Amino acid sequence: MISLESYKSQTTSISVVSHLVTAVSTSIIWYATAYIFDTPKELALVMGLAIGSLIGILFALTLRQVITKPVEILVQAIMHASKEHLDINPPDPSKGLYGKKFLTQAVITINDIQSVEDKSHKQLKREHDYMETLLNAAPMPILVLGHEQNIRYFNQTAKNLMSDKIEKKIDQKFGDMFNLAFSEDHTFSDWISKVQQVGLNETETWDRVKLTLPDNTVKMFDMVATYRKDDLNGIELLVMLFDHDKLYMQEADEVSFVSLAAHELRGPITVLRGYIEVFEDELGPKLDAEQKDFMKKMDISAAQLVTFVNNILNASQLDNEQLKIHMAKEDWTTTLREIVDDFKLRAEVRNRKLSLDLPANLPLVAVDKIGIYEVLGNLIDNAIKYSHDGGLVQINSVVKGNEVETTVTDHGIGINRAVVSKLFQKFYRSHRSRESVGGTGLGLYLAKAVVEAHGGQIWVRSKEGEGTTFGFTLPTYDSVADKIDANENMEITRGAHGWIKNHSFYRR
Amino acid sequence: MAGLKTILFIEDDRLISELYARALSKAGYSVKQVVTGPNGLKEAKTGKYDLILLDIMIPDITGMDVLKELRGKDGSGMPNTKIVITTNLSQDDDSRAALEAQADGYLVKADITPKKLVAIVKQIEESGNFKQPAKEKII
Repeated sequence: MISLESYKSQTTSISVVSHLVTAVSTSIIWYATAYIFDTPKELALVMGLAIGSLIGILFALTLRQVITKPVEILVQAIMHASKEHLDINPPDPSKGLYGKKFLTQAVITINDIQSVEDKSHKQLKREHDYMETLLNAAPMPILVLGHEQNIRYFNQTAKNLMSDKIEKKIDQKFGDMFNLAFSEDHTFSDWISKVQQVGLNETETWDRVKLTLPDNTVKMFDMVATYRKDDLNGIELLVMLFDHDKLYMQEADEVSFVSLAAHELRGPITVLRGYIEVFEDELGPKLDAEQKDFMKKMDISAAQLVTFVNNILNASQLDNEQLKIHMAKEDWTTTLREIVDDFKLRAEVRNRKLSLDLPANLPLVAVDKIGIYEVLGNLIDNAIKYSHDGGLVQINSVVKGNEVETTVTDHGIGINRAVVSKLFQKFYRSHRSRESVGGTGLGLYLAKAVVEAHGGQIWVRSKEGEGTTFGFTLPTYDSVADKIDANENMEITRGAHGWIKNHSFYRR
Repeated sequence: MAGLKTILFIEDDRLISELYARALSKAGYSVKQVVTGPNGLKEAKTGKYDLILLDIMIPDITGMDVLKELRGKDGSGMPNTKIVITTNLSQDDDSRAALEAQADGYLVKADITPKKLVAIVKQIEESGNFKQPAKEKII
C-alpha cells in the first residue's frame, strides 16, 4: 500500500516548517543585528533578508529532494513503462532521499500494471497465432466472402490451390477466381441470391462440384457455404471445399473399367452377331425349319447380350452420376415404328406377338433415341417374359397435354402388389420371375433413370393373373423448344441427375 | 454421293474387319483393310477412297488423331471423302461431341450387323446424309 496520506502530511509539514524557520531566522537575524550588534537599521534589514534568503534557498533545495524528485522518478517510471521512450531507463527509487518506501511501491505498481498489459497482449497474440495456424493448417480451402462475393479472407490451402493467383488481385470476386461447375440444378449463385433476400443463418452443401484450376486441370470437391446475415465480425459468407478428387476420380476410374470391359465384350459379340446373320442369309435356303429356328435363337441371344452389356454399362455410369442423355427433336411415330420393328423378331422367337397402335398425329418429341430404345427394349422384354405363350404385347401412344404417354401392355401373369413398389429398384427381381425368366434386374432401374432424365415419368399398373401395363411420358418437342440451343441443331443434353450442358459447358 | 465405290477400313480387330469387308465386297464395293493407325493414315491421304470407316481404338495413334489429321484444323480437309467412326466403346460426352463435329457418322459395332452396315453405306451413297436410326449412333 502506498502511504500516500503520510507522504502528503509529512511533505506538508516539512514545507510549513521550512517556511516558518526561514521567516523566524530572518526575524532573529534582523533583531540580533539591529539591537545586539548595534548596526544601522537598513544594514540590519539587508543582512536579515540576505541570511534568511540563504536559509530559505537551502530549505528549497532540500524540498526538491522531498517533493520534485519523487515526481521525477514517477514520471520516469511511467515513461519507461509506456515503452514509447525506450531510451529512458527505469528509475532507481533508492536515489530519492525522501519517501523511499512510498516511491519504491509506486514504481513497482507501475511496472506491475505494465507487465499485466504485456502478458495480456502476448496472450492475445498467442491466441491469434493459434487461430491463424489452425485456419492455415486446415487441409481444405476456407474463404470468407463479402456481400458482393468478393474474397475477404482465404487460408493457406486456398492460396495453394489457386497457385497464389488469389493474392494478386485484392478483393476479387469469388466467381471470377474459382471456375466452378455444379452437378445440380441449384448453383452457388442461385443459393446466394435466394439467401441474401430471405435468409438469416443458412448452410448449404453441394456434391461433386467441378473446379477447373488455373492450369486447366480439373478437381472434384464437395462444397459447403454458410450465410450469416449482418455478422458483427464481418463473416457474412463462409465457404469451405472438401477435396473428394480421389473418391470421384476413383469412381470415374471404375466407370472406365466397366467401359473397357464393355468394349472387350462387344468385340466378340460383334463377330458372333455378324456371322449368325451371314449364316441365316447364306445357309438359310439349305436349312430345315428346325435349323432355321436355331439360327433365330442364336440371333436374338446375341442381341440380348448386347442389351445386357449396355445395361451394365449404363448402370455403372448412372451410379457414378455419369449417365447422360442427348435429347433431340424426333418424330415419335417414326421412332416407335423403328424400335418395335427391331423387337418383332425377339417376340416371334419367344412366340409372342407385338402390336403397335398409334393415333394419326403424334407430335414431335424431345428424346434421346438410344436411351429411349433401351427403355422400350426393357419394357418390351419384360412384357414378353411375363405374358403367356402366344400372348399379345400391345404398344400404344397418346398425347396428354405437354407430354406424350406411351404404354406397353401384356396380358400375362401380372405382378403381385407388394412387388410392384420395388420394381424400379436396382437388382430387384421378384422370386417369381427368377424361377422362370432371366434378367439382370437392371432394366427397369435404368428405364426409370432415363425417363426421368427426360423430365418424364414412368409407372406400372398390374393385376395378378390378368396382366401388366408399363407407361412412361416424354416431353413434346414444343414444350422444351425454348431450352434448345438455337445454334447447335436443336440439341439439349441433360444428365440423369440434371446436369444441363451446352457445348460442354456445365451449368454454373 | 453418287458413285461411292471405294472404302477404306481402318480396324485392328481382323475378325471384325473381315466380317464387314466381306459384306461390303459382296454388295459391290471395293474395300481395303488396314490394321494400324499410321498405315491407315497414309492410305487415307492418297485420296483414293470415297468412304473411310475409322475405328477409334487402334494401335499407335488414336482414331481421333487420324480424324484430326485428315480433316485438318478447320475441318475442311478431304471434303470428298466421308469418314464414319466405328467403335465399341461408350464414349464420354466430350469425345463424342468432338468426333461428331468432324466425322460424318458414328457407329457402335456391336449394334451393326453386316447387312445393316451395307444398308448404311447405301444410304450414304444415295443421299449423302442419313437419318439417325434408333439403334446406331449416326448423325
